[in-house]
Amino acid sequence: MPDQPPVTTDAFDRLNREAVAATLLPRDREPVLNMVDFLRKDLQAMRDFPVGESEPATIYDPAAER
Amino acid sequence: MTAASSCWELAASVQRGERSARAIAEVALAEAGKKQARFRPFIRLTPELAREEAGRVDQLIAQGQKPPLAGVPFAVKDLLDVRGLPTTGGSPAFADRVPGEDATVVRRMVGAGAVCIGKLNMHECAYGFTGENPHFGDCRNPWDEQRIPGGSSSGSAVAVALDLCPLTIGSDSGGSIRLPAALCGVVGLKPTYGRISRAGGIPLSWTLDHLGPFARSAEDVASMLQVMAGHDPADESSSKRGVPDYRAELEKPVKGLRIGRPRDAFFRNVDPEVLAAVEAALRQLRDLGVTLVDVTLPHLPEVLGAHRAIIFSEASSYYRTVLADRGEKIGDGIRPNLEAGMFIPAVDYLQAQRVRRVVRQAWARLFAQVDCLATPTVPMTAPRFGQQTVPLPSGEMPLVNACLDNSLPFNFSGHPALTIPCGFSAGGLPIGLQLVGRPYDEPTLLRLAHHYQQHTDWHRRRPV
Repeated sequence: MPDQPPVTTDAFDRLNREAVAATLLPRDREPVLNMVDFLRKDLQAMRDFPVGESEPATIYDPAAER
Repeated sequence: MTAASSCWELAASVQRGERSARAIAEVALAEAGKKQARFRPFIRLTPELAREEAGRVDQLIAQGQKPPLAGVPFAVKDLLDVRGLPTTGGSPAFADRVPGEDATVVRRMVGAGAVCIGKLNMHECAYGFTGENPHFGDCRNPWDEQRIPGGSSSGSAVAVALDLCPLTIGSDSGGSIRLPAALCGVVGLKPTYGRISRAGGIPLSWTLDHLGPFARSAEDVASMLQVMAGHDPADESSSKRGVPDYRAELEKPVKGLRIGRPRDAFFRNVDPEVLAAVEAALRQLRDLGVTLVDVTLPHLPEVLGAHRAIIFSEASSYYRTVLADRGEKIGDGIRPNLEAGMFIPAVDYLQAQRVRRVVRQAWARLFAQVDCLATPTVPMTAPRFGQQTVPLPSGEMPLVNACLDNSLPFNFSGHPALTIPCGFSAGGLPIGLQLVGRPYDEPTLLRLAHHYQQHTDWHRRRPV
Protein backbone atom coordinates (compact mmCIF):
# COMPACT_ATOMS: atom_id res chain seq x y z
CA MET A 1 0.00 0.00 0.00
CA PRO A 2 2.21 2.83 -1.24
CA ASP A 3 -0.01 5.58 0.20
CA GLN A 4 0.33 4.26 3.76
CA PRO A 5 3.10 5.66 5.97
CA PRO A 6 5.46 3.06 7.43
CA VAL A 7 4.31 1.61 10.74
CA THR A 8 6.79 2.91 13.29
CA THR A 9 6.67 3.60 16.99
CA ASP A 10 6.04 7.24 16.05
CA ALA A 11 2.94 6.12 14.22
CA PHE A 12 1.85 4.21 17.29
CA ASP A 13 2.42 7.32 19.37
CA ARG A 14 0.05 9.27 17.14
CA LEU A 15 -2.51 6.50 17.29
CA ASN A 16 -2.16 6.34 21.01
CA ARG A 17 -2.76 10.04 21.44
CA GLU A 18 -5.98 9.73 19.48
CA ALA A 19 -7.00 6.71 21.49
CA VAL A 20 -6.23 8.52 24.74
CA ALA A 21 -8.29 11.52 23.82
CA ALA A 22 -11.22 9.36 22.72
CA THR A 23 -11.61 7.11 25.73
CA LEU A 24 -10.86 9.03 28.91
CA LEU A 25 -12.87 11.04 31.36
CA PRO A 26 -12.71 14.68 30.19
CA ARG A 27 -10.80 15.78 33.30
CA ASP A 28 -8.17 13.09 32.74
CA ARG A 29 -7.39 13.87 29.10
CA GLU A 30 -4.89 16.66 29.58
CA PRO A 31 -2.87 15.00 32.38
CA VAL A 32 -2.80 11.71 30.49
CA LEU A 33 -1.68 13.34 27.26
CA ASN A 34 1.00 15.20 29.21
CA MET A 35 2.18 11.92 30.71
CA VAL A 36 2.19 10.18 27.32
CA ASP A 37 4.38 13.01 25.99
CA PHE A 38 6.67 12.72 29.00
CA LEU A 39 6.98 8.98 28.52
CA ARG A 40 7.66 9.24 24.81
CA LYS A 41 10.76 11.36 25.46
CA ASP A 42 12.11 8.88 28.00
CA LEU A 43 11.32 5.86 25.86
CA GLN A 44 13.17 7.09 22.80
CA ALA A 45 16.69 6.30 24.05
CA MET A 46 15.57 2.81 24.97
CA ARG A 47 13.94 2.24 21.59
CA ASP A 48 17.23 2.96 19.85
CA PHE A 49 19.31 0.73 22.12
CA PRO A 50 20.95 -2.13 20.20
CA VAL A 51 19.89 -5.36 21.85
CA GLY A 52 20.99 -7.69 19.06
CA GLU A 53 19.34 -11.09 19.17
CA SER A 54 18.70 -10.93 22.92
CA GLU A 55 15.46 -12.69 23.72
CA PRO A 56 12.84 -10.85 25.70
CA ALA A 57 13.22 -11.48 29.42
CA THR A 58 9.53 -11.54 30.02
CA ILE A 59 9.98 -13.78 33.04
CA TYR A 60 12.70 -12.16 35.05
CA ASP A 61 14.80 -14.59 37.08
CA PRO A 62 18.02 -13.19 38.49
CA ALA A 63 18.75 -16.43 40.29
CA ALA A 64 19.08 -18.20 36.96
CA GLU A 65 21.54 -15.62 35.71
CA ARG A 66 24.07 -15.77 38.49
CA MET B 1 10.75 3.07 74.20
CA THR B 2 13.49 1.37 72.26
CA ALA B 3 15.78 4.30 71.55
CA ALA B 4 18.85 2.76 73.17
CA SER B 5 18.29 -0.87 72.18
CA SER B 6 18.67 -2.98 69.13
CA CYS B 7 15.65 -5.11 68.37
CA TRP B 8 17.83 -8.09 69.26
CA GLU B 9 18.46 -6.67 72.74
CA LEU B 10 14.79 -5.81 73.15
CA ALA B 11 13.82 -9.36 72.23
CA ALA B 12 16.46 -10.72 74.60
CA SER B 13 14.96 -8.72 77.47
CA VAL B 14 11.57 -10.30 76.71
CA GLN B 15 13.12 -13.74 76.43
CA ARG B 16 14.71 -13.29 79.88
CA GLY B 17 11.39 -12.23 81.34
CA GLU B 18 12.58 -8.72 82.18
CA ARG B 19 9.87 -7.11 80.11
CA SER B 20 6.59 -8.42 78.79
CA ALA B 21 5.60 -8.23 75.17
CA ARG B 22 2.24 -6.86 76.28
CA ALA B 23 3.84 -3.96 78.18
CA ILE B 24 6.08 -3.10 75.22
CA ALA B 25 3.10 -3.17 72.87
CA GLU B 26 1.09 -0.85 75.11
CA VAL B 27 3.91 1.71 75.17
CA ALA B 28 4.34 1.51 71.40
CA LEU B 29 0.61 1.94 70.78
CA ALA B 30 0.44 4.91 73.15
CA GLU B 31 3.43 6.64 71.54
CA ALA B 32 2.09 6.01 68.05
CA GLY B 33 -1.26 7.47 69.06
CA LYS B 34 0.42 10.64 70.30
CA LYS B 35 2.30 11.27 67.05
CA GLN B 36 -0.38 10.21 64.60
CA ALA B 37 -2.24 13.48 64.18
CA ARG B 38 0.94 15.46 63.60
CA PHE B 39 2.92 13.15 61.29
CA ARG B 40 0.33 10.68 59.92
CA PRO B 41 2.63 7.64 59.79
CA PHE B 42 -0.25 5.17 60.14
CA ILE B 43 -3.36 4.45 58.15
CA ARG B 44 -4.56 2.27 60.99
CA LEU B 45 -3.26 1.30 64.40
CA THR B 46 -4.09 -2.29 65.34
CA PRO B 47 -4.36 -2.37 69.15
CA GLU B 48 -6.53 -5.48 69.41
CA LEU B 49 -4.26 -7.46 67.13
CA ALA B 50 -1.15 -6.21 68.93
CA ARG B 51 -2.51 -7.22 72.32
CA GLU B 52 -3.50 -10.64 71.01
CA GLU B 53 -0.08 -11.25 69.47
CA ALA B 54 1.79 -9.86 72.48
CA GLY B 55 -0.22 -12.07 74.81
CA ARG B 56 0.67 -15.08 72.71
CA VAL B 57 4.37 -14.16 72.84
CA ASP B 58 4.23 -13.82 76.63
CA GLN B 59 2.64 -17.27 76.81
CA LEU B 60 5.43 -18.73 74.67
CA ILE B 61 8.04 -17.15 76.93
CA ALA B 62 6.29 -18.58 79.97
CA GLN B 63 6.49 -22.00 78.30
CA GLY B 64 10.25 -21.62 77.85
CA GLN B 65 10.29 -20.75 74.16
CA LYS B 66 12.48 -17.96 72.81
CA PRO B 67 11.26 -16.57 69.50
CA PRO B 68 14.03 -14.44 67.96
CA LEU B 69 12.03 -11.21 67.73
CA ALA B 70 10.02 -11.79 70.91
CA GLY B 71 7.85 -8.79 71.66
CA VAL B 72 9.49 -6.45 69.14
CA PRO B 73 6.87 -4.06 67.72
CA PHE B 74 6.68 -3.75 63.96
CA ALA B 75 4.34 -2.21 61.41
CA VAL B 76 3.64 -2.83 57.73
CA LYS B 77 2.98 -0.66 54.73
CA ASP B 78 -0.72 -0.86 54.04
CA LEU B 79 -0.33 -2.78 50.81
CA LEU B 80 0.46 -5.97 52.75
CA ASP B 81 -2.32 -8.21 54.02
CA VAL B 82 -2.96 -8.59 57.71
CA ARG B 83 -5.79 -11.01 58.37
CA GLY B 84 -9.14 -9.43 59.17
CA LEU B 85 -8.08 -5.86 58.39
CA PRO B 86 -8.54 -3.87 55.18
CA THR B 87 -5.50 -3.65 52.91
CA THR B 88 -6.05 -0.22 51.42
CA GLY B 89 -2.95 0.27 49.29
CA GLY B 90 -3.35 3.86 50.40
CA SER B 91 -6.48 4.17 48.27
CA PRO B 92 -10.26 4.01 48.76
CA ALA B 93 -10.28 1.74 45.71
CA PHE B 94 -9.24 -1.17 47.95
CA ALA B 95 -11.47 -0.43 50.93
CA ASP B 96 -13.28 -3.75 50.52
CA ARG B 97 -10.12 -5.87 50.42
CA VAL B 98 -10.22 -7.65 53.79
CA PRO B 99 -7.97 -10.73 53.60
CA GLY B 100 -8.40 -13.88 55.63
CA GLU B 101 -4.66 -14.54 55.81
CA ASP B 102 -1.51 -12.62 56.52
CA ALA B 103 0.98 -11.78 53.77
CA THR B 104 3.92 -14.18 53.91
CA VAL B 105 6.29 -11.59 55.41
CA VAL B 106 3.75 -10.64 58.06
CA ARG B 107 3.24 -14.30 58.95
CA ARG B 108 7.00 -14.80 59.23
CA MET B 109 7.48 -11.74 61.45
CA VAL B 110 4.64 -12.77 63.74
CA GLY B 111 5.98 -16.33 63.78
CA ALA B 112 9.31 -14.92 64.99
CA GLY B 113 7.56 -13.23 67.91
CA ALA B 114 7.27 -9.70 66.54
CA VAL B 115 4.07 -7.81 67.34
CA CYS B 116 2.23 -5.85 64.64
CA ILE B 117 1.03 -2.50 65.96
CA GLY B 118 -0.34 -0.99 62.77
CA LYS B 119 -0.60 -0.47 59.03
CA LEU B 120 1.48 2.32 57.63
CA ASN B 121 0.67 5.29 55.46
CA MET B 122 1.92 5.36 51.89
CA HIS B 123 1.66 7.17 48.60
CA GLU B 124 -1.57 6.02 46.98
CA CYS B 125 -1.19 2.69 45.15
CA ALA B 126 2.59 2.93 45.84
CA TYR B 127 2.63 4.93 42.60
CA GLY B 128 4.39 8.07 43.74
CA PHE B 129 7.37 9.27 45.69
CA THR B 130 6.35 12.18 47.93
CA GLY B 131 4.32 10.45 50.64
CA GLU B 132 1.37 12.76 50.10
CA ASN B 133 -1.98 11.03 50.38
CA PRO B 134 -5.28 12.84 49.77
CA HIS B 135 -7.33 10.08 51.39
CA PHE B 136 -5.47 9.28 54.61
CA GLY B 137 -3.55 12.50 55.15
CA ASP B 138 -0.09 13.59 54.08
CA CYS B 139 2.70 11.81 55.91
CA ARG B 140 5.20 14.43 57.19
CA ASN B 141 8.96 14.41 57.59
CA PRO B 142 9.91 14.14 61.28
CA TRP B 143 12.90 16.46 60.76
CA ASP B 144 10.80 19.27 59.26
CA GLU B 145 7.04 18.97 58.97
CA GLN B 146 6.99 21.32 56.00
CA ARG B 147 8.96 18.78 53.98
CA ILE B 148 8.00 15.52 52.36
CA PRO B 149 9.11 12.26 53.96
CA GLY B 150 9.55 10.63 50.57
CA GLY B 151 7.59 7.66 49.33
CA SER B 152 5.95 5.58 48.52
CA SER B 153 6.80 3.84 51.84
CA SER B 154 6.46 7.12 53.73
CA GLY B 155 4.97 5.78 56.96
CA SER B 156 7.55 2.98 57.09
CA ALA B 157 10.38 5.51 57.33
CA VAL B 158 8.57 8.02 59.54
CA ALA B 159 7.53 5.43 62.14
CA VAL B 160 11.14 4.30 62.57
CA ALA B 161 12.53 7.85 62.61
CA LEU B 162 10.04 8.77 65.36
CA ASP B 163 10.90 5.61 67.36
CA LEU B 164 7.28 4.48 67.21
CA CYS B 165 8.46 0.98 66.40
CA PRO B 166 11.97 -0.29 65.70
CA LEU B 167 11.10 -2.32 62.59
CA THR B 168 8.84 -1.65 59.63
CA ILE B 169 8.22 -3.20 56.22
CA GLY B 170 7.94 -1.28 52.96
CA SER B 171 8.00 -1.89 49.24
CA ASP B 172 10.25 -0.49 46.51
CA SER B 173 9.62 -0.48 42.75
CA GLY B 174 11.81 2.50 41.87
CA GLY B 175 13.16 3.76 45.19
CA SER B 176 10.17 3.59 47.52
CA ILE B 177 12.18 2.14 50.41
CA ARG B 178 15.48 3.96 49.90
CA LEU B 179 14.12 7.43 49.16
CA PRO B 180 12.02 7.82 52.33
CA ALA B 181 14.67 6.08 54.43
CA ALA B 182 17.28 8.58 53.20
CA LEU B 183 15.06 11.65 53.61
CA CYS B 184 14.05 10.57 57.13
CA GLY B 185 17.49 9.42 58.32
CA VAL B 186 16.99 5.67 58.80
CA VAL B 187 18.30 2.48 57.18
CA GLY B 188 16.30 0.89 54.36
CA LEU B 189 17.11 -2.20 52.33
CA LYS B 190 15.76 -3.16 48.93
CA PRO B 191 17.01 -6.74 48.73
CA THR B 192 17.77 -8.73 45.61
CA TYR B 193 14.75 -9.41 43.43
CA GLY B 194 13.50 -12.80 44.57
CA ARG B 195 15.01 -12.69 48.07
CA ILE B 196 11.74 -11.87 49.88
CA SER B 197 8.32 -13.24 48.99
CA ARG B 198 5.76 -10.69 47.91
CA ALA B 199 2.75 -12.97 48.38
CA GLY B 200 -0.15 -11.24 50.07
CA GLY B 201 0.64 -7.76 48.84
CA ILE B 202 -0.97 -5.43 46.33
CA PRO B 203 1.43 -5.33 43.37
CA LEU B 204 2.45 -2.31 41.35
CA SER B 205 4.94 -3.78 38.86
CA TRP B 206 5.63 -7.51 39.08
CA THR B 207 9.17 -7.44 37.73
CA LEU B 208 10.22 -4.33 39.66
CA ASP B 209 8.48 -4.78 43.04
CA HIS B 210 10.57 -5.65 46.10
CA LEU B 211 9.64 -5.82 49.79
CA GLY B 212 12.22 -4.84 52.37
CA PRO B 213 12.97 -3.78 55.94
CA PHE B 214 13.46 -0.40 57.63
CA ALA B 215 15.26 0.08 60.96
CA ARG B 216 17.72 2.43 62.64
CA SER B 217 20.72 0.14 62.35
CA ALA B 218 22.14 -2.30 59.84
CA GLU B 219 22.17 -4.84 62.65
CA ASP B 220 18.41 -4.59 63.08
CA VAL B 221 17.88 -4.74 59.32
CA ALA B 222 19.95 -7.94 59.31
CA SER B 223 17.82 -9.41 62.09
CA MET B 224 14.68 -8.59 60.19
CA LEU B 225 15.94 -9.84 56.84
CA GLN B 226 16.82 -13.12 58.53
CA VAL B 227 13.14 -13.61 59.27
CA MET B 228 11.71 -12.22 56.03
CA ALA B 229 14.00 -13.89 53.45
CA GLY B 230 13.57 -17.28 51.83
CA HIS B 231 11.56 -19.17 49.28
CA ASP B 232 7.77 -19.10 49.40
CA PRO B 233 5.71 -21.45 47.25
CA ALA B 234 3.04 -18.74 47.11
CA ASP B 235 5.42 -16.43 45.18
CA GLU B 236 6.97 -18.12 42.15
CA SER B 237 9.48 -15.31 41.78
CA SER B 238 10.97 -15.98 45.22
CA SER B 239 14.35 -17.67 45.09
CA LYS B 240 15.07 -21.17 46.39
CA ARG B 241 18.60 -20.08 47.23
CA GLY B 242 19.56 -20.67 50.88
CA VAL B 243 19.37 -17.83 53.40
CA PRO B 244 22.72 -16.96 55.01
CA ASP B 245 23.19 -16.03 58.66
CA TYR B 246 23.06 -12.27 58.16
CA ARG B 247 23.89 -11.36 61.76
CA ALA B 248 26.93 -13.61 61.81
CA GLU B 249 28.17 -12.00 58.60
CA LEU B 250 28.10 -8.52 60.17
CA GLU B 251 31.23 -9.04 62.20
CA LYS B 252 33.44 -10.23 59.36
CA PRO B 253 36.15 -7.69 58.43
CA VAL B 254 35.64 -5.15 55.66
CA LYS B 255 39.31 -4.69 54.95
CA GLY B 256 40.09 -5.46 51.33
CA LEU B 257 36.58 -4.92 50.01
CA ARG B 258 36.43 -2.84 46.82
CA ILE B 259 33.79 -0.11 46.47
CA GLY B 260 33.12 1.33 43.04
CA ARG B 261 32.28 5.05 42.76
CA PRO B 262 30.28 5.71 39.57
CA ARG B 263 31.44 9.32 39.58
CA ASP B 264 30.22 10.44 36.18
CA ALA B 265 26.55 9.67 36.63
CA PHE B 266 25.93 9.80 40.38
CA PHE B 267 28.39 12.37 41.78
CA ARG B 268 28.37 15.09 39.13
CA ASN B 269 25.11 16.90 39.81
CA VAL B 270 24.64 16.72 43.58
CA ASP B 271 23.82 19.30 46.25
CA PRO B 272 27.21 20.35 47.74
CA GLU B 273 26.22 19.44 51.31
CA VAL B 274 25.07 15.99 50.20
CA LEU B 275 28.20 15.45 48.15
CA ALA B 276 30.44 16.45 51.07
CA ALA B 277 28.67 14.04 53.43
CA VAL B 278 28.84 11.13 50.97
CA GLU B 279 32.52 11.77 50.23
CA ALA B 280 33.22 11.91 53.97
CA ALA B 281 31.44 8.58 54.42
CA LEU B 282 33.55 7.02 51.69
CA ARG B 283 36.72 8.33 53.35
CA GLN B 284 35.52 6.76 56.59
CA LEU B 285 35.08 3.43 54.83
CA ARG B 286 38.50 3.80 53.24
CA ASP B 287 39.96 4.35 56.71
CA LEU B 288 38.39 1.02 57.69
CA GLY B 289 40.41 -0.70 54.98
CA VAL B 290 38.08 -0.51 51.99
CA THR B 291 39.55 0.28 48.57
CA LEU B 292 37.73 2.94 46.54
CA VAL B 293 37.70 2.59 42.76
CA ASP B 294 36.21 5.02 40.22
CA VAL B 295 33.96 3.15 37.79
CA THR B 296 31.41 3.84 35.07
CA LEU B 297 27.95 2.31 35.19
CA PRO B 298 26.96 2.03 31.53
CA HIS B 299 23.59 2.46 29.79
CA LEU B 300 21.85 4.63 32.41
CA PRO B 301 19.81 6.74 29.93
CA GLU B 302 18.40 3.59 28.37
CA VAL B 303 17.70 2.17 31.83
CA LEU B 304 15.60 5.20 32.73
CA GLY B 305 13.37 4.78 29.68
CA ALA B 306 13.15 1.02 30.03
CA HIS B 307 12.13 1.31 33.70
CA ARG B 308 9.39 3.72 32.65
CA ALA B 309 8.12 1.33 29.96
CA ILE B 310 8.00 -1.57 32.41
CA ILE B 311 6.48 0.13 35.44
CA PHE B 312 3.82 1.96 33.43
CA SER B 313 2.86 -1.14 31.47
CA GLU B 314 2.78 -3.53 34.41
CA ALA B 315 0.98 -1.11 36.73
CA SER B 316 -1.68 -0.44 34.12
CA SER B 317 -2.03 -4.15 33.48
CA TYR B 318 -2.70 -4.84 37.16
CA TYR B 319 -4.99 -1.84 37.59
CA ARG B 320 -6.93 -2.37 34.36
CA THR B 321 -9.92 -3.96 36.09
CA VAL B 322 -9.70 -1.60 39.07
CA LEU B 323 -9.90 1.36 36.68
CA ALA B 324 -12.86 -0.15 34.90
CA ASP B 325 -14.75 -1.09 38.07
CA ARG B 326 -14.00 1.82 40.40
CA GLY B 327 -11.46 4.12 38.78
CA GLU B 328 -13.21 7.18 40.18
CA LYS B 329 -12.10 6.12 43.66
CA ILE B 330 -8.42 6.48 42.73
CA GLY B 331 -7.05 9.96 43.34
CA ASP B 332 -6.67 12.46 40.49
CA GLY B 333 -2.91 12.44 41.03
CA ILE B 334 -2.60 8.71 40.34
CA ARG B 335 -5.35 7.71 37.92
CA PRO B 336 -3.88 9.56 34.89
CA ASN B 337 -0.59 7.68 35.34
CA LEU B 338 -2.44 4.37 35.36
CA GLU B 339 -4.39 5.41 32.26
CA ALA B 340 -1.29 6.64 30.44
CA GLY B 341 0.34 3.25 30.83
CA MET B 342 -2.46 1.73 28.75
CA PHE B 343 -1.00 3.46 25.71
CA ILE B 344 2.54 2.10 25.76
CA PRO B 345 2.99 -0.20 22.75
CA ALA B 346 3.74 -3.84 23.48
CA VAL B 347 6.91 -3.53 21.40
CA ASP B 348 8.21 -0.91 23.84
CA TYR B 349 7.54 -3.17 26.82
CA LEU B 350 9.33 -6.06 25.13
CA GLN B 351 12.22 -3.84 24.08
CA ALA B 352 12.53 -2.73 27.72
CA GLN B 353 12.80 -6.33 28.88
CA ARG B 354 15.41 -7.05 26.18
CA VAL B 355 17.38 -3.97 27.24
CA ARG B 356 17.17 -5.29 30.76
CA ARG B 357 18.98 -8.49 29.89
CA VAL B 358 21.76 -6.68 28.00
CA VAL B 359 22.24 -4.16 30.80
CA ARG B 360 22.38 -6.84 33.47
CA GLN B 361 25.10 -8.62 31.54
CA ALA B 362 27.11 -5.40 31.24
CA TRP B 363 26.70 -4.62 34.94
CA ALA B 364 27.72 -8.17 35.88
CA ARG B 365 31.06 -7.46 34.21
CA LEU B 366 31.41 -4.32 36.32
CA PHE B 367 30.56 -6.19 39.52
CA ALA B 368 33.33 -8.65 38.73
CA GLN B 369 35.74 -5.79 39.48
CA VAL B 370 34.15 -4.40 42.67
CA ASP B 371 32.25 -5.80 45.65
CA CYS B 372 29.68 -3.03 45.63
CA LEU B 373 28.89 0.46 44.37
CA ALA B 374 28.40 3.58 46.49
CA THR B 375 26.31 6.60 45.48
CA PRO B 376 24.29 9.35 47.10
CA THR B 377 20.87 7.78 47.69
CA VAL B 378 19.34 11.03 46.44
CA PRO B 379 21.23 14.16 45.33
CA MET B 380 19.45 16.47 47.80
CA THR B 381 17.80 16.59 51.22
CA ALA B 382 14.02 16.47 51.72
CA PRO B 383 12.12 18.91 49.46
CA ARG B 384 9.21 20.99 50.69
CA PHE B 385 5.61 19.95 50.02
CA GLY B 386 4.55 21.27 46.65
CA GLN B 387 8.07 21.66 45.31
CA GLN B 388 8.22 20.54 41.67
CA THR B 389 11.92 20.96 40.95
CA VAL B 390 15.15 20.69 42.93
CA PRO B 391 18.00 23.21 42.61
CA LEU B 392 21.18 21.31 41.76
CA PRO B 393 24.53 22.55 40.42
CA SER B 394 23.48 22.08 36.78
CA GLY B 395 20.15 23.87 37.28
CA GLU B 396 16.61 22.98 38.32
CA MET B 397 15.95 19.24 38.08
CA PRO B 398 12.38 17.84 37.93
CA LEU B 399 11.46 16.35 41.29
CA VAL B 400 10.74 12.91 39.83
CA ASN B 401 14.25 12.65 38.41
CA ALA B 402 15.91 14.00 41.56
CA CYS B 403 14.02 11.55 43.75
CA LEU B 404 14.31 8.37 41.71
CA ASP B 405 17.12 8.44 39.15
CA ASN B 406 19.73 7.15 41.63
CA SER B 407 17.59 4.30 42.90
CA LEU B 408 15.44 2.98 40.04
CA PRO B 409 18.35 1.47 38.06
CA PHE B 410 18.66 -1.21 40.72
CA ASN B 411 15.00 -2.14 40.59
CA PHE B 412 15.51 -2.56 36.89
CA SER B 413 18.58 -4.75 37.43
CA GLY B 414 17.38 -6.50 40.61
CA HIS B 415 20.62 -5.81 42.52
CA PRO B 416 20.32 -5.35 46.31
CA ALA B 417 20.64 -1.74 47.46
CA LEU B 418 20.72 -0.28 50.94
CA THR B 419 20.68 3.29 52.26
CA ILE B 420 22.23 4.40 55.53
CA PRO B 421 22.30 7.84 57.13
CA CYS B 422 25.68 9.47 56.56
CA GLY B 423 25.27 13.05 57.72
CA PHE B 424 23.03 16.08 58.03
CA SER B 425 22.71 19.36 56.19
CA ALA B 426 23.32 22.64 57.98
CA GLY B 427 19.53 22.90 58.17
CA GLY B 428 19.34 19.63 60.09
CA LEU B 429 18.05 17.36 57.31
CA PRO B 430 19.33 13.77 56.91
CA ILE B 431 21.57 12.61 54.06
CA GLY B 432 21.76 9.05 52.76
CA LEU B 433 24.52 6.88 51.31
CA GLN B 434 23.41 4.11 48.93
CA LEU B 435 25.37 0.85 48.71
CA VAL B 436 24.56 -1.52 45.83
CA GLY B 437 25.73 -5.13 45.85
CA ARG B 438 25.95 -8.19 43.68
CA PRO B 439 22.82 -10.34 43.42
CA TYR B 440 22.13 -12.02 46.79
CA ASP B 441 25.13 -10.34 48.41
CA GLU B 442 23.12 -8.52 51.07
CA PRO B 443 25.69 -9.74 53.65
CA THR B 444 28.41 -7.48 52.18
CA LEU B 445 26.13 -4.43 52.15
CA LEU B 446 25.00 -5.04 55.72
CA ARG B 447 28.56 -5.68 56.86
CA LEU B 448 29.82 -2.42 55.37
CA ALA B 449 26.89 -0.51 56.85
CA HIS B 450 27.36 -2.14 60.25
CA HIS B 451 31.07 -1.34 60.41
CA TYR B 452 30.35 2.23 59.30
CA GLN B 453 27.74 2.59 62.02
CA GLN B 454 30.18 1.31 64.63
CA HIS B 455 32.30 4.38 63.87
CA THR B 456 29.60 7.03 63.36
CA ASP B 457 26.49 8.16 65.22
CA TRP B 458 24.30 9.54 62.42
CA HIS B 459 21.83 6.69 62.89
CA ARG B 460 21.43 7.48 66.59
CA ARG B 461 20.27 11.05 66.08
CA ARG B 462 16.63 11.79 66.67
CA PRO B 463 14.37 14.57 65.40
CA VAL B 464 13.61 17.10 68.13
